Amino acid sequence: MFSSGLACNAYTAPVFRKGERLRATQPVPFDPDRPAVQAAQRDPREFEILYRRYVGQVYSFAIYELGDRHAAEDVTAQIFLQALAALPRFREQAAAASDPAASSFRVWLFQIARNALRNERRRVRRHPVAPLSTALSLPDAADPAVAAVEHDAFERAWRVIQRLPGDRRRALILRFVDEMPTPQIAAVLGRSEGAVRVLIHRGLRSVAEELRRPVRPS
Amino acid sequence: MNLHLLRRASDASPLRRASDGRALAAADAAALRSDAYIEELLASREPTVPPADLDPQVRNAAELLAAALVRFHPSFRFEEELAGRLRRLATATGTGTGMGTGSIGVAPLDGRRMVALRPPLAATTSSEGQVSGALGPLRAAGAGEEEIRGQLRPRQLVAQRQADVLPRQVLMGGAIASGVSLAGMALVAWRLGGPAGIVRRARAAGDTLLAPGRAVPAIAAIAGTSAGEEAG
Repeated sequence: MFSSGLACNAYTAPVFRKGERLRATQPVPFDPDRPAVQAAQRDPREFEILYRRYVGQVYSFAIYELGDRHAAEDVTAQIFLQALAALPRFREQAAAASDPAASSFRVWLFQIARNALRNERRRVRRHPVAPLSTALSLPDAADPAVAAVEHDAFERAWRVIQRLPGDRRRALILRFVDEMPTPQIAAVLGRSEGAVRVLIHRGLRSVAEELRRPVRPS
Repeated sequence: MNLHLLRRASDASPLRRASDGRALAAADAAALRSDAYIEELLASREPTVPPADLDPQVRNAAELLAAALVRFHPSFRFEEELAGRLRRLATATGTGTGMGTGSIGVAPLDGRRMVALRPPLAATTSSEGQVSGALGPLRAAGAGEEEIRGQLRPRQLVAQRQADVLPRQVLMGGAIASGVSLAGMALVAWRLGGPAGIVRRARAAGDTLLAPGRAVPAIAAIAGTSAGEEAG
């Protein structure tokens, strides 16, 4: 499946446990993106595989963060162009050993996304080109994704999520929309796993409090 | 700043620190329970039996978010457009053609011959936006360099070149052949009219110089003109 010399570095690592001297070596979790990333680093035209795999996730993250379809498209394009340009410098790090499904390319991509989205939000705040109500308007109700769920539930969740502060909101979006495991969210946000768990827990409490409040007509 | 920290440290009694630690541990434990429940919820895609010690409000919020926060997908048009942009950028990066920079790149054709291609590759856009050239339709359709090259075989590419599509094409192999031909022609010319003729004329000039009063015709002989021509 793999050519020689590829993806063979550090597959095994010694595992030390308390009370044991040295257990047999265990394989380091395999990053499912590794072959595609290595192919793309050899030939940038292979980047399309990674693009197709993650465009929906990145776009969703952008649309929840920015609340505007066109802005989300612009930032998504920017994120992928930036990722392609920086791909030769990408080095996989075995930071996600606790999660077998971890993908460090995914973390790296979402780190680019987080920075780009933060800059975009800052820019929109400083130089608003549209009224805030328009910028934070709900996605089109005709969108199939929205139509698939009960619209009221989506609207409530959307409004509550938009009111949450920065990292609490990002953690919930990455957890529930992109279904990212906690270690990956921690790597994306640059926090510890424990801190991310607490962020999500507090975010859920905030959502519960918001849901208890009476809905004001806008 | 330091005084503030010192005061805080001194104010914190061991009992208070212990209670803070217990509160933190409780918060961590609650966060862990929430995380485990969310994991189960997202894996099963439907509300599962929650653990008894999970806060019901947190559970309701998690269920609402899991059901209502849908994933959006970009429009097909946007996705394909961005894919095209990435492909073009990747092609420019991967083959080093310097696409879009206006420089001349070298593309391998059949492994041996190298043909220098100009980046516009047979498509010139007029001021009215008309795309001319045999590859114009491909260009007009927004095809990237890779797609265009994929459409062409080497012979077609050379035909394109001959059809004056590439105005200043450079054939490296052709240049070598031309060099050899020019060298051959120079050699033939040198053999036919070069040194032998010069020696003959030098001898003749020497003979004429020996004769008194014939200096001017001798110089004319060396210069390749006859005495008669000189006189006329």
